[in-house]
Amino acid sequence: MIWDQYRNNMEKYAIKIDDMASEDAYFMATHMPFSQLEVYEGGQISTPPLLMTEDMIFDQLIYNQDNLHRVIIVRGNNGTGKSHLIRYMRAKLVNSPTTIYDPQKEEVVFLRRLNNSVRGAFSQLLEQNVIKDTELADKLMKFVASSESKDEASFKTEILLAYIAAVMNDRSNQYYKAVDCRNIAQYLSDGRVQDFLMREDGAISRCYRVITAPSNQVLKEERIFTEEDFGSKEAQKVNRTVIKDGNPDSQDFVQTIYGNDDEVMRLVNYLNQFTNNVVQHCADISSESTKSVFEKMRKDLKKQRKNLTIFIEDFTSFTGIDSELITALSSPHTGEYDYLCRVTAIIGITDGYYDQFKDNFKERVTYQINVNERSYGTSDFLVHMTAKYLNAIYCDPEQIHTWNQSGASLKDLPISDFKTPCEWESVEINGQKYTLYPFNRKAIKILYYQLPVKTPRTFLIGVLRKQLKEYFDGKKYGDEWLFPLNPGTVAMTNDPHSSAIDRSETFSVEDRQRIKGILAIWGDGSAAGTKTAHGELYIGDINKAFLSDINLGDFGPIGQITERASDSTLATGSFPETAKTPVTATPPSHVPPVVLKKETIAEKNHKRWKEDIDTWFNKSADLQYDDDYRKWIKEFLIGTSNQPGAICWQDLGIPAYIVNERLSNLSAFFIDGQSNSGRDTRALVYIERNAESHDALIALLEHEFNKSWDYNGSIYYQQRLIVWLERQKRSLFEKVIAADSFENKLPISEWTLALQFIRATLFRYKIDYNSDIKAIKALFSKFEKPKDAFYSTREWSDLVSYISSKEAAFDSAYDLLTKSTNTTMGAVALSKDPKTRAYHTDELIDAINHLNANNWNILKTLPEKTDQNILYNPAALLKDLYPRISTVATAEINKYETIKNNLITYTGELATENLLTVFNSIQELFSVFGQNGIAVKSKLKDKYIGAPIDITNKILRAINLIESTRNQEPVLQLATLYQNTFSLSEDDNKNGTALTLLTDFLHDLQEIERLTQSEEQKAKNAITGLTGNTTVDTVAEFAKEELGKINELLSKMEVQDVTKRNNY
Amino acid sequence: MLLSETITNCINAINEKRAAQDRKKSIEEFSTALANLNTVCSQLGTVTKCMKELKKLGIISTPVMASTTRDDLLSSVYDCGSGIEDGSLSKDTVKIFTSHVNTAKAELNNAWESNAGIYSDGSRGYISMIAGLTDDPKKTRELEQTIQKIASGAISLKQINDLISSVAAANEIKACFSLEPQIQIFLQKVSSEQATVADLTPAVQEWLKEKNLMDKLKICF
Repeated sequence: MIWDQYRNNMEKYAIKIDDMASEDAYFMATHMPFSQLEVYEGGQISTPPLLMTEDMIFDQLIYNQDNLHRVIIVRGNNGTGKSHLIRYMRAKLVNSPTTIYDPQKEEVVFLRRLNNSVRGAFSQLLEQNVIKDTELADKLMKFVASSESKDEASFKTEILLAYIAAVMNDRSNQYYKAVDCRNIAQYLSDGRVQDFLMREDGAISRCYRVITAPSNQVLKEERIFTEEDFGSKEAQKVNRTVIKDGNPDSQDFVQTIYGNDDEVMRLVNYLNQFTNNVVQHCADISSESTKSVFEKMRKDLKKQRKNLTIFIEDFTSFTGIDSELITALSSPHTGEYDYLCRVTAIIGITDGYYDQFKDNFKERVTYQINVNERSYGTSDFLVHMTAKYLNAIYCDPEQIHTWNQSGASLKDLPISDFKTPCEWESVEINGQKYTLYPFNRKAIKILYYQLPVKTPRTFLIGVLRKQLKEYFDGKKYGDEWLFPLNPGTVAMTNDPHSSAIDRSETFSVEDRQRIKGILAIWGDGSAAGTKTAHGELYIGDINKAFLSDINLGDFGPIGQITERASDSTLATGSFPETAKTPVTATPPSHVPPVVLKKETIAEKNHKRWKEDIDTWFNKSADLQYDDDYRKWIKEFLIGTSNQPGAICWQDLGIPAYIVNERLSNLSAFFIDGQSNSGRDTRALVYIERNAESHDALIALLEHEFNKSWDYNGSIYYQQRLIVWLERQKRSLFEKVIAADSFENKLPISEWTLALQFIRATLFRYKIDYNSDIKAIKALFSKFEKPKDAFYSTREWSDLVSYISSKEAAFDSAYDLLTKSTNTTMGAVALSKDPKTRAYHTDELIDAINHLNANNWNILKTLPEKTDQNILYNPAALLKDLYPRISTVATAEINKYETIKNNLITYTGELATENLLTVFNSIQELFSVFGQNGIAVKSKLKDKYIGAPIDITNKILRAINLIESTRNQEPVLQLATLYQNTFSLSEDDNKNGTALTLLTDFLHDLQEIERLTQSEEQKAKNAITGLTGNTTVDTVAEFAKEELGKINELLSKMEVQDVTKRNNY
Repeated sequence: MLLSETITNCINAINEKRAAQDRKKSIEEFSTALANLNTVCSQLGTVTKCMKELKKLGIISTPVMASTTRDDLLSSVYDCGSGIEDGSLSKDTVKIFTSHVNTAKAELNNAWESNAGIYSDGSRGYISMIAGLTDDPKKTRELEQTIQKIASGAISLKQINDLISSVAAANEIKACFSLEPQIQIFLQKVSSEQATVADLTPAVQEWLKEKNLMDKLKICF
């Protein structure tokens, strides 16, 4: 098949992976003349260059009719075409008539880049019979043979040891003193350093590749040692180990380079200077013998009265003998060197390598030719190159070979008979017409600028070869078309049309991308249809026949088909002014300046976002800036403080607060293929990767860029965005309100009111739940946990603690209640702190009525599954709370039963008469205690100081209240128990419950009993101590006896008769 | 047990305790009165013995205790005895008895103060005058001072006996030292440092020689 043949021509002849490997016939058939080569005289670039065409260079420098000594360096970066130029010069020379090139008088040596290892260079020297010295030739042959067979590891070791030996023997003192050289040698001898240098990307491996790379490998190595070998993080790690436990000499040295970039650089330069010596050592050749290779050759040629023209595509491959080579070639053939023949040396060299060239060698250079992007001349260079390669591919190889053998005259170059399916762009070169099919100028330009590295070589490999392969395969197989490949983010400029193509279900996703690629890269960026007077249909400025040719014939134009202007018969790109300009050898006098309009930051961002969104959709790439897009979507849906959103949420019955809470976080938005982490299953707004979403994002992008909806094309974008929104709306609403249907929205008010009621009950706030309005007002309060509260049961206390631990959830539910039932004025975002109070009372009253109807226990109505979000949190809390409330209610009743039974043991049946008896007794007891100085706590005494009938009534009222709750729902049971307060006295706990009152009463009775029993025992003990004293009786008997004696004594006593005496 | 029953038991126990406490208090008071009574009885015994001795040894010639005092004492003895008998002896009863005993004590002290000096001054004055002329003037003077101290001190059975024995000793010295009146005058002047050479009458000088006192007297200017 012809398509197989074309592909074969391309891959086998015209565009090989290494373009320099193409054979001469195709090389000549596809050669593109350089029109603006910079030429410098001498080895420096201090003077401005002369701009010359390649033919001018050939005539003035290569064709050396005056027999002048010339060393011409062809410089340029990789891929700019140095080798191509040198190869062309050589071909032009050897194909020139004898007046210019006479093989009898001129020896031509051509050293290819293909074999640019040292081994390859030596091989070529041997093959071209340059080396006349048989001994040297033997050595080189031996080296070439051994380097092929030698084990890599041992060869590397040999290389390393050669470097170490060179350093060890260095006595030059140029870079380092001898003692330092010894230390460096010790450092390089360290096993860890050796391993590191011999790693895959290490210096020794590079040197190994430079010497022995296979002949089909193109090397890029310029320096053997680099900073990476001694200054990288890994190298520093190795150096640390040497510092730690290396040889003392190596330790001394490594200290100097550790963390010192300048010293590392010094060492790198130092070691690189030994590379030549090392290579020569490995090849077992001496510097002198190497130099003699060319000397001897020149001598021999002189004797033969011949001159030498030597072409070296890549001088880098002569590492090891480069300095000898340049020395031998740079010697003039006059004066003391008149025994040598004249030399014209054309040497290709990269800029990087040339910069390392020693200054003395630069002095030996007579001309420099700089090959760069400007050397290609105008942008037509690429078009012409494409045309030539296409022609070579479409031609029969026989024709090309015959043409080459016939002198390869450009004007005689065979032109292919390739038939385009329609009239197509072509280019005229040297009077011949070359088709560009299946490319056009615009496509060539765009595809070239999409290349990351823009050189002719990368264009050939990365664009022509790749695209043509797909084109040929498509034509051959007829299905699974991939042509054209869209290399980057080239998108149609007409977004509506692009969007329409995206939405077209007639084509597969791949074909849609192909159509868009063709229209974007080949066409005018639209899918607008035009028709010529002859009835030929053009879509996006592309002939419909081309689309049919690439199996896109079913694609039709979008919109109305208009009449095509008569001069627009060709699909044109950006080069109309040069489309028909023939290639000329005359160089332009100057390089036209390129004036670029500086992009603003907004424009840059717009471009960046646009490319990101297009690539996301077209190439299924991840979005890079999805945070921005999700923010736009969010603001579009809910607005900002400055602008309303696109949806009137409250009009639709969805509270602004809920919308804001649900959609304020970007995690609620998920775009398929977003680079930021997130969970699509948790997102409320899910943006699929489809045409509609793409359009919506582009619409938001344009809005962001234009800061309004008033711009060109805005109607279309708004329409697309609204379409997207309307399609999303129902699902969005349902997700925002977390309900499976809009009608079945969650009873948020009921749940949150129930939660408030529970919290109020347990915190002992009084709620009149039988009155709906009063209950709503009361439940709109924020309930705080009471301070210094006393809880009648541990279960109650535990539940209060639990509620306190869930304060955030309760507060969130409170906010949900008070804010979601309120009306927000303005943007949704303002619902956080509403300034108005306009509640949906009807909804709240319904909720209260429903709660009352269910006795405030709605456990059975709660959803089985509750998601973790602000809407379901109240339900989840309620489900958690109701069982706990039942537990508390049960605990309250159980405790009541226990206390009641205990009380009965003190009072008998809890009836009025019995209680009166107890209280009377207590009062009598306290009275007796008072009379006998027995202290009683005043707090205890004061409780029972009142009228016994009043205290009795308090006790009985508490009992009756508890008994009345036995058949209530637990939550109402607790409300009844906790919302009524009881106390025995004014000084007692005024906020007690019925149960705490009974508990206190029981404790009091227990205390009184203890006190009573204690005092009774004390009294009994005292009575025992007060009886049984007999001593006094004995004393009394003795006293009686004494008195008897005294009575007798006095009776007998002589006394004065005082009466008589007084009478005296 | 119902709390009201527990309370009743407690109140009863407290009342019983209260009664026991009252009883204990009255016993304690009775005991105190008995103790005081013993003391008073003991004092009264001593007083009556002294009174008897004074009379018996001739220091006084009439009974010391007044009849009214004895009547009061007998009355108190009766009251106290009655109190012991019915257990109602109080501190006040003993206190009255004590005051009567103190009255008896006062009567005794008055009798001693009035009569002890009278009984001992004659003998004590004489040995005071001749003390320097006796063989043991120091002892004589000590005796004189002892008599004076006893007669002016508090009365007790021991003091009474000491006074009797001291006066007896003075009388013995006095019996050994009988003087003419003119000798007594001379000695009085000497003891008051008023004697002159003119008082050395021949009788005096003779008496001095007889009593071998010539070398014991010196003339001072």
